[in-house]
Amino acid sequence: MICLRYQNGRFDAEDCLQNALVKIFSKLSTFDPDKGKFEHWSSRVVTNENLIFLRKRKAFDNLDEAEDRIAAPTHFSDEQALSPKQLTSIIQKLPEGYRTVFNLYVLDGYTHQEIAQILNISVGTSKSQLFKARKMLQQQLEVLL
Amino acid sequence: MDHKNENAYNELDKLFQSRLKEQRSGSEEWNTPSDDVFEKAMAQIEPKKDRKPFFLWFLLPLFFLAMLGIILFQHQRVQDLEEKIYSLNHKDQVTLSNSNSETTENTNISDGNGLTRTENAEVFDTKQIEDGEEGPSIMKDIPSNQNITVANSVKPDILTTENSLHNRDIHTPKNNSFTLNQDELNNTSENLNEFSSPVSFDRNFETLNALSGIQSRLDYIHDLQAPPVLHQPHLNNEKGGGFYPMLIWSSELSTIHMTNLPVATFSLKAYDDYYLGYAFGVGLSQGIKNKWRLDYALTYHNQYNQSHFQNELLYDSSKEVQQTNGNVEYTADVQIVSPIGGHDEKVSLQLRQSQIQDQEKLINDTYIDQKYHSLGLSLVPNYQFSNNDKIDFSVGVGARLHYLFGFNETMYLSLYHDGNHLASEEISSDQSSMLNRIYGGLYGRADFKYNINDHYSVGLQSGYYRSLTSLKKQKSTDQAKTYLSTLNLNLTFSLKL
Repeated sequence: MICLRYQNGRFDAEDCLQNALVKIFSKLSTFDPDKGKFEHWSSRVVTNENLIFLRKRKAFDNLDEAEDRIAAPTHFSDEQALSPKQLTSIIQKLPEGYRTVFNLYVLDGYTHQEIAQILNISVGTSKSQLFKARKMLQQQLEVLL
Repeated sequence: MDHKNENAYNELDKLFQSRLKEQRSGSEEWNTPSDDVFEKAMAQIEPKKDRKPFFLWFLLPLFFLAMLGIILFQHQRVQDLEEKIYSLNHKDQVTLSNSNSETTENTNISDGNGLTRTENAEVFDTKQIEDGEEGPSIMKDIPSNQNITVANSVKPDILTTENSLHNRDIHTPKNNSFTLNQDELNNTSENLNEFSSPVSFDRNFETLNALSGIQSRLDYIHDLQAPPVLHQPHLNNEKGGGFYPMLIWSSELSTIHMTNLPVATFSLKAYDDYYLGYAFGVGLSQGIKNKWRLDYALTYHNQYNQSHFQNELLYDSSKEVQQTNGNVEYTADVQIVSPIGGHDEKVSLQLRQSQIQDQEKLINDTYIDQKYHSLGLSLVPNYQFSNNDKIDFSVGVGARLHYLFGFNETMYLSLYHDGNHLASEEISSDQSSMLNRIYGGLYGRADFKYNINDHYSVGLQSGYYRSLTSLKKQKSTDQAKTYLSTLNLNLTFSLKL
């Protein structure tokens, strides 16, 4: 599920998951149950693997120059009708920079400072990427509803 | 407006958080990874559990012993073939030797009982010689009181051949007949009872033709023998990354291609047969991406080829020197075309007046055997088409540079006049001037590999190398260019350390 959110297709998501599984098994000895749940640890490994995967594709280069093609937000009416599959699909359609920041901030609970450090970007860029991601998601939802 | 937007975004965040968090507990088809993902991941993890280094160290010596055996077998096979060809080439030769035959006053040649010749050799017509009118003097500077007997199908006009190469060593032929240069002959003329002369005669031209036919057949059989074996450990690095050492053993079939040959007086009769050689070395395989890897290799190559040239010696009357016995000494410069060298050869002949009047062309027929010792440095990117647990198929195209550091050349020269064989000579030379040259070309290959287990795999690999730069440099006397091609059909044995 995490891989599907971070990648823009099933093929890349499965590749990424495969690498993540190898890493989880090979570094299992480093997991300390006293420091947290296995689910959280493994989710962190999978998230990191996704970021490595995206970094290799230079997804975070020139984030500041990304084009703003987002319409103004509107209120939702029947959003409850949206399924997880549809929502994941909408996330996948985001540009890689928007998608990564949105995933990290909204769904995985990272702060803008942490995101800036992880992606090697400024805090301002992280915020603007999130803003643009939200705008684009809202626009996509309008189409669906 | 900002406040309104903020509320909308909070709703949006909550929507995604709640819906996607719910989904973590349940799985459906769209968010369940295929079984293939888990299988591949497990395949990558499992090898670490199964490492058996002891077994590996047991197999390595066996691998090297097998390689050593193949090297020795091939070396012996090539030697046997060379000796067979050599013996066939010289079986019918009749050597000039001394005997207890009758002495004539006007010439140093006479017929006699002690001649060495083959069954069908015609007896030399001694009448003319004894008359002293047309009889040629066979051995220059040999005292007239020496008894020399010649048997030959044609008039033994040839005196000797000299070459202008300073670094060339004339060595003893394998059939135990001695070969002496002219100075040695002069100095040892008293001991002719013990030596053969440097000049030897074949019965006729057809003899050589027949022999070359046999040789071609031998070459053909030779080429059709068991495919050469190459052991090239190239390692499983399907997921990319890392360097892996390689040991390389290869048997190769090599040939040359020549262009820009002189057309006026030269002809290249045969040169494009494939001859067996071998190579071995070390290398590195570097995984660079999921399906890509780079192979670097440093290899020693021992390659062999044979070529056959003919050229005409046009008679030049200005080079005649009249002899006291009425014959003519004639010296001709012969340009020898060699696949990577080429040099001038000086041939001294004594001819009868009748032969000069014929104005027939003299033919120099040369077989050249060459062995190349070179270091190859190759860089081959490979793309792996299929990648499963058992079968891999990959292809690669890259470049290989060769540095030629050793070179041996053996020439079998034969002179003919009007279709009749006059003389033969075997010349072996170390062509130091040909060394230290670099040539490069393209190398392509296809590789089928069967993975026995996590550590070992066997496969079939075929490759082709073609030099794009000439082995022959333009500083030589002619403008010919020579390119080398090598075919590989190999078994592969791969290790993953």
